[in-house]
Amino acid sequence: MTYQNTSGIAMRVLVTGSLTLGIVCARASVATAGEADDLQRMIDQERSSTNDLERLDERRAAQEEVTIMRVWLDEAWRQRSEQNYDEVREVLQRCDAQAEMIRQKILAAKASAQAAEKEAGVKVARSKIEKLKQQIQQATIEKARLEARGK
Amino acid sequence: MSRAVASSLLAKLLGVAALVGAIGCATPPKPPELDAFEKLRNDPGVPAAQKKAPDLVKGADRLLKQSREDWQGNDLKESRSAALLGQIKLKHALALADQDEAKRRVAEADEKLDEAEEEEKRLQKDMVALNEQVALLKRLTAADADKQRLAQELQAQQQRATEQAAVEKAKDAAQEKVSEAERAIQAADNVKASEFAKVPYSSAKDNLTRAQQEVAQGNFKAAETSAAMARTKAVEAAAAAKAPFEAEAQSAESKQRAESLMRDAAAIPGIVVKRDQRGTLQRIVLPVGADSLFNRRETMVAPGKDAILDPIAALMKKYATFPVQVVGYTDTRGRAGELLALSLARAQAVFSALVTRGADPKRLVVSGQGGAEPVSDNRTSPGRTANNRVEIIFLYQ
Repeated sequence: MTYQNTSGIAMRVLVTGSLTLGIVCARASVATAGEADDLQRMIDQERSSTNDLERLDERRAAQEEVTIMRVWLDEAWRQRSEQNYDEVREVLQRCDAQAEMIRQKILAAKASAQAAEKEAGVKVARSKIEKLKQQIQQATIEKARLEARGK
Repeated sequence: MSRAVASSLLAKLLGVAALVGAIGCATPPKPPELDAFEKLRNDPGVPAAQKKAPDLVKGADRLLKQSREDWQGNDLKESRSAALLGQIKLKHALALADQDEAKRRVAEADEKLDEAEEEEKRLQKDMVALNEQVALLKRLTAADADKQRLAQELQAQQQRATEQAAVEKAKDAAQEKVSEAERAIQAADNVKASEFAKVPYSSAKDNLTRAQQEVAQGNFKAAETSAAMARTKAVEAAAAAKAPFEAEAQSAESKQRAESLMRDAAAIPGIVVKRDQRGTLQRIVLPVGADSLFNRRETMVAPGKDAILDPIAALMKKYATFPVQVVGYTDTRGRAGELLALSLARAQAVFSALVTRGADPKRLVVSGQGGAEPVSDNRTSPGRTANNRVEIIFLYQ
């Protein structure tokens, strides 16, 4: 949990930093030929991040969001092709937030699954306790019967 | 007509223009992103998300407001963009709240699990103790049952042994009675009860057979009764047969001894032995001529003539059980009283001579018969000689 949080934060910081850096760089070289390449790299990074998130999402808790993110990245790619770099940056910024949201959703799903597992364990334990109580009740009855017979 | 058509066309054109104008000035349809955002905002988990991540929810609300304004301001692109970003923030906040909720559930479950484990341990402990008690009670119950069963078996065995002993005792008693009856019947056989006491003997035998059959059938009481009856009858038969048997036995012995006596007597020279019967008495008569013992009219045994008495005395000693009569006889010449006295005196003389030779006087009976019971003709001299005699008579039955 701590590791995941830490790695998530680190990744978020990394991605955010990269984006910021990209945006700064993009602004610094307005309408330069290198801007398209930077945006392409950022889109590729987001796609890779999407794949990673999809792998992390073992319970398919954020499948819909991952699909939507891919659609947005496709849209960003199209906008980049049309040299609408501001739109591309806007979509990438949204994708960044989406990625973080997906990560948290995946963590929530894992935590929820863990809780469900624990709750199932509790249920099993309660069931065992109930059985034990029944057995104790039966044994108590048997004991009373044997004692009565002994007298 | 053309004016009417023209005016109609004009009216239609005016209508279309008015419609286009109205459409152009009206609010555009709500973007689906905004619609979805509003629905998400109404999610029941939003209050929790607001607590957990107030900044994110606040930002989402700001974007919702912005999206609505953009939509109202006909800037659909910005409205959609704001709605999407707002949804992301709100979902982010919801995910964080979900994580919190899940953590809370995990903690709660852990706590419950700990409690459950504690309770389970306690219950397991109770269960083990209870099971041990139940097992102990079962063993005790089983032991009691075993004890009871063994006691019953022992009682049954003792009862069987008692019954068996009683049966054996009854059998022994019955067999003892049967043995007694057998001995009694054997005793009866010894006195020929089958011959001399047929009825009681036959009854005894029948009762013995019945008793033996009853023993074989295990009817010991009846066997005892039958054996007792057999014994009684056998005793009765033996008692009844004893006298005739003894008589027969004695008679047979006497006859045997008499035969022997007869042979020995016949061997004595000068004596012709006779055998006759008087009533139930058998007699072996040894007549000794008076002239062989006495001088004429003498009553004392003449010296030198008594040798003949020696074998007779020996015979008396040999056959000591026979009673013996010594009877004197004479011929008929003379007075009867004198003859009687003479015959008695001669008999007394022979008696004395025999006693002198060792004969038992208690066995001897002396008498004088005078001229009675002549054995020959008194009219002739040899007849008279023969009639003057002393008879030594051995008696038996």
